[in-house]
Amino acid sequence: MLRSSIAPSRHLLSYSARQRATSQWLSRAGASSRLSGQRFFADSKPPNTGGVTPASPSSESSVPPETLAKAAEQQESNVPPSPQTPAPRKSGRFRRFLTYLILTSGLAYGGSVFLALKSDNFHDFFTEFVPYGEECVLYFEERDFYRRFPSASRHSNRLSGSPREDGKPVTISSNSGLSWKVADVEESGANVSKKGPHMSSHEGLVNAESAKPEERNSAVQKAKDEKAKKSKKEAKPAEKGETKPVALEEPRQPAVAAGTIELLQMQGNDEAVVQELVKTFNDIVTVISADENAGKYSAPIAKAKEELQKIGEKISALRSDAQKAAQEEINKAHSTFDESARELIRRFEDMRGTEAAQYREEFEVEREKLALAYQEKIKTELQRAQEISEQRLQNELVEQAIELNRKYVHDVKDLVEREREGRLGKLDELTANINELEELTSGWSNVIDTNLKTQQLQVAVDAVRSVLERAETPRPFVRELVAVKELAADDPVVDAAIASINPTAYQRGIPSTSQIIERFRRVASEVRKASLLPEDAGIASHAASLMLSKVMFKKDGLAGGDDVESILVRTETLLEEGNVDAAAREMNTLQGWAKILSKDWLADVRRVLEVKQALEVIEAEARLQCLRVE
Amino acid sequence: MADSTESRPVARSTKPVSEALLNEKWDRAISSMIIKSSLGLSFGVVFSVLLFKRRAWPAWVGLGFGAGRAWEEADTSFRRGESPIRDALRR
Repeated sequence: MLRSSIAPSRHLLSYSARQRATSQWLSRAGASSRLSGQRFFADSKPPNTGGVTPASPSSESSVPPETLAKAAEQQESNVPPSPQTPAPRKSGRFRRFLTYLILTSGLAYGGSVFLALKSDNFHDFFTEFVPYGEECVLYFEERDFYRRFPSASRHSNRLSGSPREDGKPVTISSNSGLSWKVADVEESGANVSKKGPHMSSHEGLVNAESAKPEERNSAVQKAKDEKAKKSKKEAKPAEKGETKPVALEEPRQPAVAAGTIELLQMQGNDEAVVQELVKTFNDIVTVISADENAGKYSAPIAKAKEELQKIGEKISALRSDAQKAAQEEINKAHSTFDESARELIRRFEDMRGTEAAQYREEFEVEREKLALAYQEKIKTELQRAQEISEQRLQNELVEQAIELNRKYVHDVKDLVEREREGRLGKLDELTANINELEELTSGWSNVIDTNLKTQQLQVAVDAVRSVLERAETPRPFVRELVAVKELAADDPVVDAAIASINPTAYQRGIPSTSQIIERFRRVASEVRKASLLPEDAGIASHAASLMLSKVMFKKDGLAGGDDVESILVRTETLLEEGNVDAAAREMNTLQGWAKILSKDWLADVRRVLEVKQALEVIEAEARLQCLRVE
Repeated sequence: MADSTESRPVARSTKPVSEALLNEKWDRAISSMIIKSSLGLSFGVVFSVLLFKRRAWPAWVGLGFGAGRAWEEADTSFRRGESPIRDALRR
C-alpha cells in the first residue's frame, strides 16, 4: 500500500522538475556521484532511453551537474546571439558582456586560488567543486615549490623523466665522506715515503733520542746548545743560498769527482747535534751525488764540509769548556757542603750531649720524687690498715662488752624474777585471802540487806492486801503498788507480776468478793430474762423471752447441763463457796445474749483474779528471796 | 480514809453496764413507740380534718405509720445486739 502510494510520486518527480531539485541538494550534500544514480525499491525500472540522464554524467566526471547545467545555459546564451548578431550595437553589448564575464571569472579564479593557497578549508572547497580549480591551485603550488627548491625540480624531473638510462655503476668519489685529517690539503696520492703526518712519529723519536742526553747536562749547556742550533740554522740558509747561486754561476764546472763526493766524517765528536748536522749534510751530499751533475757542487760542498768540521770542533770545544767550568763549580759546592755538614754534625752532638745531661738530671730528680711519693703512700696505707685493724678490734671489744652486758642484765633479771616470784607469790596469796574475807563480809552485809528488803516487801504486800480486803467500795491502790515496786528494786519477777495487772485495776480499784456476789445476783436476773432468745432475735422474740422467763422454774444445786439456767445456778453455788476463779470459768461458757449481758461482770472478776495472782506471786518471790539468802 | 475518798471520783464511762443493756433497749423502744404513734395519730387527725372531712381512717392510718416505724427501729436495735443504743434518726 505504502509503496504503491509513494511510487507514482517518485515517478512524477523523476522528470525535469525533479532533476534540478535532486541534483541541487545532492550536489550540496557532496555525494552526487553516489546517490544520483540510485534506484529505490519503490521505483519502477527507469526507461532505458539511451540518452544521457541528467544525473548520470556526475558518475563519470568530477564536474558536478550544477556546473554542467550552467555551462549549458551559457552555451545557450552564447550560441543564439552569435548567428543572429544583426546589430552592431548588440554585438558591442555582447562583447562588453563577454569581457566583463571573462574579467569577473578571471578575478574570481585568481582570488579563489589565492584564498585556496592561504586557507585549507577554502582549498578543499575550491578543488572539489570549482571546475579546473584543482588544476589552477596545483599549478600555483608547484610553481611555488620549484621556486623554493630549484634543485629538487631538476632531480624530480630526472627521476620521473629518465630513470637510469645508461646503467652506469654508481661511483663514490674517493674524497667523499669523512677523513681523519683535520684540515687536509687537496693533495692526493699515496706517497708514503714523503714527509707527512705519518712520519711525525719517527721524527719525534729521533728528537727524543737527541734530547735525552742533553737533558742530563746542566742548564748552561742547554742554553749553549740552543745557541749553537740557532747559529746552525742561520748558517744553513746561508749555505743553501750560497750553494744555489754557486750552482747557477758555475754550471759548467766539471765535477772533480763526479758521483763520488765524499761523505763528511766527523770523528771524535759525540755531540748529538753535530752528528745530526753531519747526517743531514750527508743526505744532501748523497742527493747531490745521486744527481748527474754532481761535479758542479763538489767544490762548494767541500767548502761547506770544512766549515762544518770547523763548527763541529768549535762546538766540542765550547762544550768541553762548559763541562770543565761546571766540574769546578760542582767541586766547590761539594767542599762547601762537606764543611757545613761537618759543622752541623758537631753542633748536633754538642746539643745532644747537653740535653742528655739535662734529661738525666731531670730523670734522677723525678725518680727521687716518685720514690718519695710511693714511700709516703705506703706509709699512709700502712697507717690506715693499722687504724682499721684497731677499729675492728675495738668494735669487737665493744660487741663483746655489749654481749656481756646483756647477759649480765638477763641474769640479773632472772634472779630478780625468781626472787619476786618467791616473795610476791606470798603477797598475792595474802591479798587473795583478804579479798575473800572482804567478799565474805560484803556477802554478809548483802544478806542482811536482802533480808531487810524482803521484809519490807512483805510488809508492802500485806499493806496492798489489807487495802483490797478492807475496802467496802473499790478504791485505787496505786501508792501501795508503787511502794512494792520500789522495794522490789528491779526484781524481774515482781516487775512481771505488776505488769500483768490491768492498769484500770489499780487506778480504779477492785471490787471485794461480797460486791461481786451481789452484782452477780443482778446479772443473773437479767441473763434469765434473755435466756430464751434465739440467735438473731427481733423485738417480738425479746418480748416473748421476757414474758416466758417470768414463768420458768428455778433449778437448784448442782445441775448438770448446758442451758443458761443451770450454768447460772452452778456459778452462784461456786461463788457462795468462794471459788471465784471457777465461777468465772463457768460464766465464760455462756453464749449469745447471756454472754453479752454478763461481759462487764466477767471483766471485773478477771481483774480481781489478776490482782490476787500478782500479789501471791510477789509474796512467793519475797519468801523465795529470804530462803535464797540463807 | 480521806485518801480513799479523794481517789474515789474516777470518771465513770457513760457506757451502761452490760446487764442494763437490754433494759435500756426496752425503754427506748417503748418511748419511741409512744412518740411515733402519737405523732402519726396527730398527723392523721390533721389530715382527716383538713382533707377528708373528719373521717376516722386517716387518723388510724397515721397511728399505724408511727407505730410501725417505732417497731421497726426497736427491732433493728435489738437485732444489732451488743452495739450501744443510738437514736435511729441521729444516725
